[in-house]
Amino acid sequence: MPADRKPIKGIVYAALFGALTAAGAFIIIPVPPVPITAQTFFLNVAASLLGGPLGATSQFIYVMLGVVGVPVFAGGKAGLGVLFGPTGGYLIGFIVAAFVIGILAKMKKDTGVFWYIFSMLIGMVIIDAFGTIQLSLVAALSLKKAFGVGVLPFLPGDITKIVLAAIVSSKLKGRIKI
Amino acid sequence: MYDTGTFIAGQTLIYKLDPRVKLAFTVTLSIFILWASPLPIFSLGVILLLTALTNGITLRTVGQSVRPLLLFIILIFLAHALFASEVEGALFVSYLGISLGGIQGGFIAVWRFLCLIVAAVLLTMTTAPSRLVAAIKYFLHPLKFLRVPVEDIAVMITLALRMMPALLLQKKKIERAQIARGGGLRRFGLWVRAKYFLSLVLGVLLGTFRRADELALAMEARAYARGERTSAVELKIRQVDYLAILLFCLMIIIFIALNLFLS
Repeated sequence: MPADRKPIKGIVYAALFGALTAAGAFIIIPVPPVPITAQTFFLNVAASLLGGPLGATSQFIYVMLGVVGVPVFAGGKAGLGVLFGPTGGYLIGFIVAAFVIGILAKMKKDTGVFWYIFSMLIGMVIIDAFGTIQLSLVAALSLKKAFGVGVLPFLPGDITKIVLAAIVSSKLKGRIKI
Repeated sequence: MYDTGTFIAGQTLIYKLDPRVKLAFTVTLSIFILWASPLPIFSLGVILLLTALTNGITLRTVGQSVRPLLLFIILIFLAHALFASEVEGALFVSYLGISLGGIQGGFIAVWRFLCLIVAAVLLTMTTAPSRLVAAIKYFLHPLKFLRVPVEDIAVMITLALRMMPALLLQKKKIERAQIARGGGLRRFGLWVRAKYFLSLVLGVLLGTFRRADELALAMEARAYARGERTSAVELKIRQVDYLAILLFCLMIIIFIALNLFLS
């Protein structure tokens, strides 16, 4: 059926961006104070280039890769336990954030770097909100402490990644036709 | 790079269990670990470790999957030990805010964390990825009624599983090309590093797009259609599985009783 054939490209792209996000666990960007992995960088690029639904799908695939046992969660973790563990909130936040970033980024006809940065910042807030809440629940820390452990040290790196991702997205935005 | 949590073929009982059963066990365990009080968790951790050791998973492999997390474990411990809000027990070093209760809390939090890791290692090291995908597909099945394309998701997971090493290899190639031209991520100031990072990921991304286009074309050419498909992996619940479920339920009930009794 021709109606069924069209989304194949979408499936493949979402799968590959999921794999890229996973591969991002092994790409380390040397930024002070904490060296960071390229995962949320690929999350941002995936969401802004693929749009909301496919972007979220790609992050869901990434999470599933980790669940299946490929050590692609932050710090070389894997397995379903991570989702329920202290850092699981960030992973759920990934999926939600990708959806929102994708929707925001596709809202404008010709998205510029600053609009990309804006939507990715919103995404970052979503990820950190989910992450901090679960971290404080699971590790029995107060919200303030959880924020200090789970968000603050990574803030400079996260913002660097967002700027880089916005530049890359605006350079590549015409390249994908799904 | 892949030595943590990857499947290694084995012959013991746990390898023969149905992946769906093991997946359900892991989920139940992770929920229980996060809910229970210290003593049951401590004994559960010992049981988990013994199970791992008797099934050919060495302490070294467990250590290998813990090592990358060391920094995070230390952070969790410090967060508990240093900023314990309610001060129980005698103060150790009052001006640092370290209290006995805080240190205890830190140890318990770390132990919980380790239990989760060992449980996950047990699942992923004794189950082949393809069988795990089949199990996930099985559990996602109810979502079909919400019009979630479960079959597509299984295909996508398999695709991503297959492509991830290839993408890493490509990244390595581009990195080497950069180094050969005098570049690379490990030198110069921040701005130069950022520029090298950009050229690296642009290369990886463009390569990925090309691969995706080729793959989509190849799938279309082979008349790939969405919807129901058959799988090489067939899951069957056998007697061993029923026995395992029985034992597992017994263990969990004992632990829950212990937990309620203690609190």
